[in-house]
Amino acid sequence: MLFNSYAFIFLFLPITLLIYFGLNKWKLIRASILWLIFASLVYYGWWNPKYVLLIIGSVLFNYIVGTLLRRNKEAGRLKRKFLLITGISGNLLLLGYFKYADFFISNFNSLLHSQVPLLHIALPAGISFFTFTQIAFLVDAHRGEAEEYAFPIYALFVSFFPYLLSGPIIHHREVTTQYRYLRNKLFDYRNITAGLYLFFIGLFKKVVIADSLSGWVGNGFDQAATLPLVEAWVVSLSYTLQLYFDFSGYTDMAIGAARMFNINLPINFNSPYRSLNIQEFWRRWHITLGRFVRDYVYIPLGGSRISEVRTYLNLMIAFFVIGLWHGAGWTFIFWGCLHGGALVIHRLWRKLNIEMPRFLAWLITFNFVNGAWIFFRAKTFGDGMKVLRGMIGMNGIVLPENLAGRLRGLQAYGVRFGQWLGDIGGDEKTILVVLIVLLLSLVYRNSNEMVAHFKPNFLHLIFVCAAAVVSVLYLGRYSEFLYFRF
Amino acid sequence: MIKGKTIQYKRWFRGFLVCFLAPLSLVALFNCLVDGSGLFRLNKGLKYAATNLLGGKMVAGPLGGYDERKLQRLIVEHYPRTRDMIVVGSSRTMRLQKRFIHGDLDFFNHSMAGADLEDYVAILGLYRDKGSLPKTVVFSIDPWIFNKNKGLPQYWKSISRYYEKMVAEVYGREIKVSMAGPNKYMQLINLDYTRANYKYLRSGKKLYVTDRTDIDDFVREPDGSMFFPYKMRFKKDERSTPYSPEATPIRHPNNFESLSRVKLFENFMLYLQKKEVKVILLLLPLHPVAYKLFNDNPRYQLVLSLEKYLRDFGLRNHIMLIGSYDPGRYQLTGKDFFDDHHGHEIVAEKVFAEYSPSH
Repeated sequence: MLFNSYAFIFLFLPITLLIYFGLNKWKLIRASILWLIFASLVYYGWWNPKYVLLIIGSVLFNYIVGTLLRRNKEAGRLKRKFLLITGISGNLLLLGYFKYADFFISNFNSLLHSQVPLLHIALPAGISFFTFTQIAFLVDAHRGEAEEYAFPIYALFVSFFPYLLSGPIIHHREVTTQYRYLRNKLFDYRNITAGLYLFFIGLFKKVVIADSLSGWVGNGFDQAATLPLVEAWVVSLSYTLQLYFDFSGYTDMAIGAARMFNINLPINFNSPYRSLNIQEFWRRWHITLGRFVRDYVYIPLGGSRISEVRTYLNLMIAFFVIGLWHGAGWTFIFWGCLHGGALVIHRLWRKLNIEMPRFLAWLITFNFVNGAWIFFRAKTFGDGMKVLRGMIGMNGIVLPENLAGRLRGLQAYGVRFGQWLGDIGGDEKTILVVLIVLLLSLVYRNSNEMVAHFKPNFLHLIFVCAAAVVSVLYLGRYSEFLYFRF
Repeated sequence: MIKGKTIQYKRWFRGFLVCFLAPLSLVALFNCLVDGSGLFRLNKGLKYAATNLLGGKMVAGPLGGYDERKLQRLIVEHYPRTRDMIVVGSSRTMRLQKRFIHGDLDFFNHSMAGADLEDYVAILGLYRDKGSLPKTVVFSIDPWIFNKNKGLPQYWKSISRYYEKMVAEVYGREIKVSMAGPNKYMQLINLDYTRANYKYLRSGKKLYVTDRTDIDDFVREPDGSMFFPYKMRFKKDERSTPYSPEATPIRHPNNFESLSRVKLFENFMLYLQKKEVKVILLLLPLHPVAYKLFNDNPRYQLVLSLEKYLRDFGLRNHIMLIGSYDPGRYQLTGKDFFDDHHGHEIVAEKVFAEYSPSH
């Protein structure tokens, strides 16, 4: 089920809320937890009910391994290590089978010129997310940092529908206490209103802003044969903004929905495009993924407490993992390595102690991120290079036909006049729209700031109702969340 | 103090429910009352169009704004005889006229914008429901009907009942396909439908009978073929020139990674053959630039390899196939198309020149 669907907004969410707080009102606390698990499984199985068995199996497996790890605290180091390796391998095998099998087979085929048939397995939604949260749980159980949870609490921690499909990637300690806290079982108007406020801001970001950019992105990346300069920039900027508004909009909806159940989730975005360097960008973009990779990949590898060269290598490995986590494709790995390389360069630059002007620092960071997203979006390197070539003017410049009279002299420099932005399905307003959305992402308060300033007054009521009504009217358009495929 | 705050939040919550639901209810009421496409009740315009088309008159007006599937349903239901030949296809086949077919046949062209494989099944389901299948069915096959990722709206859902019935007939058992879902009612709070209804209300434009085709309206002929508005067919701006590779968007084959629904297609064709319906597969040529792009780009090889699959399927099962996606085979140029997708009538005429009913 999608957050941006009529079924979720008008049926699933209100019914789940009503029954949850109804059960709690009758002091059926355990039943309310079981109800949330059941509702989450319905939510998960909406598209493909058979995958419900997959998540149930995954939860059972990890709970058993985690319990064994905790109960064998006194057992030998080797036995505990074996349990941990078994647990992590089980998770990675599941992820590998569903997400990476065809990637490995196609690479195997092209390396050895063999013809092993592809498996064409449909990727179960959210598998990357619930696999990571559970790996973290197992590692903590091994370290002795995870307490023993009752099975329903553990099952809810993994399956709670607001973050099940696309995060934020939750750490067990962040939510398990909240699930048990009795005060959270009471219907709280403060949280309901704040949750609604955030949910509909997120919905607006997704269906009105991000989806409006998606047509130009799709046409530019997947359909146009070549892209002249202006078109290429419009396409790349549109994707950069679409991804941010799509994913952060989804996260806002997830945090808002959870807040209605009195559960506070960690923020995942903090105006990332304002960053002045790449390190800051990763502190603002997909924060919970960065945190996971830092705690469970980078630091266990030694982090920055070892030699310089090893630190750089660790950074590259961490970003290789981030790239691969996003998708089974070389373009994702390349994107991850680009960011890893940028962080290495940033660390080297910092050693020089040279202060860069703020605007220049922003410009370099933003353009690097924008350029790297091209390979994140492109299905092939060829598609990525097509956009990149256009951005540096290798496909020429096309200007609107009506400027031909005034700017005829530019023809001598290879500028053509003709159908402007038509090959990406845009028109004269396209550039204005992209610029306004860019400004919104840079200057306007982000949703965390907005909800922090939320007051139950008339102004906020009108604002959020307008956003909600417009968003619901926009729901009929075809759309999907970009992060569902990761 | 805390209680006072809670009351404030409670009031705000109630205000939210009112301010959120009231405008949506108004929009829904507006769409329900106007209902320009006849989604919720049979539109008078559709009845008017069907009656006049069956009476041998040409009907013009905002035909694109109506539910074309419902119009086809009315035409099938109210036609008293068994058709000799029907055509089922997308907007690319709309220019296929009775006069291109040799012989005096009882002919009707059921082409509909955005037609999909489900439409093909549903149209025959309409005939099956009425109790008389046509003698010959020409299926115009656009490559993307086999692409599950094309992302086209599922217009066919408005006649999904007939799709379900036909699929059940093909497979010899009841098949519950839960596709008739709540989408129709969700149109009540859909921005696009609201806009369309607003335009419909403002224009006040209704369907009318005409004897001219050089007008700026869609014109449907009694044989079911359709003329696009004059300005669309004969553009005067730069778009009337042949499309350049840079400016030709590649439609629907987007994410065309594998052939889907082949089994349904094959079973459906074989079912019709078993019922002694003569099946003809029609491949209308693509725009030369689009064809070249498909040919040059390895990603779209599947689009063109479909032609080979259809030819093989036809040969194996004695199903006639006419036409080709290759415009070069008919010496067609960009000028024979009025956009990157739709050909002038010469396209269908040239293809049908090689057809004879005696084949």
